[in-house]
Amino acid sequence: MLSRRRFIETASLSLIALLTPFQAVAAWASQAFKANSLDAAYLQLFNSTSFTATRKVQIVTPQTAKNPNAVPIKISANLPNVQSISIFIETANSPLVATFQLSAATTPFVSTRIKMVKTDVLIVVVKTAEKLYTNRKKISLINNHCGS
Amino acid sequence: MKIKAIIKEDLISVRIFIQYPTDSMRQVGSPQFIQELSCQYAGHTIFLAHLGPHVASSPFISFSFKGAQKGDHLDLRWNDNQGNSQKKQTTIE
Repeated sequence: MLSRRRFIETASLSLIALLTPFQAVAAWASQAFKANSLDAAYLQLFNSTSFTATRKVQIVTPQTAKNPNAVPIKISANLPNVQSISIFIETANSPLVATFQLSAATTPFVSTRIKMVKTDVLIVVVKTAEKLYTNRKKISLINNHCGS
Repeated sequence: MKIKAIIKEDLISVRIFIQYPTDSMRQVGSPQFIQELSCQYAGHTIFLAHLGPHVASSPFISFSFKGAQKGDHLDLRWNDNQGNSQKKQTTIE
């Protein structure tokens, strides 16, 4: 027989199960930000490491960044049904910089400013309803360590 | 948090700048950064940013969307990794 206590336990567990998927999506992606390799970050965010390289993902940055604490970047994707845009720095200890989730009303575009410690490659992954796409761009930092 | 939402034809451009950390939020020791920024329109989240410490300390973020009118409201909210948060409503100009 289902005791009262058992019923309450079961009921609250079902409630937790109902709430979990939403929270999992809404919570800050701490595991992906902690990941210390590109592949580990990709797996956390996309459950995949295989992307299609495309020029339809456009990355606009200064070729040479003047202020390494605020390097401006603009990303746009000429692709349908874009769900998210994610930015990575290729050789950073924890490569994930940011991930932006877009709604159907949001245009596939985002602009932000990032910190860089050295010349590196910016990797962008765009998730559409169908596929994962990627593009990359090298950003050079002006060398401030000339001894003067 | 400074927000500018401007409609041009049918496209609304939203630009956000968060001066961070302010003196009252500054803490000694652990690294502080803004973790999340969201924008809601008519009860729906139209933009959700998860940010890590590589994003500029005072984040600037811009995005755009369709389907709203001049005079409509947008609700923005950010939170950092220390439990600070701020909400602000803006009107599309």
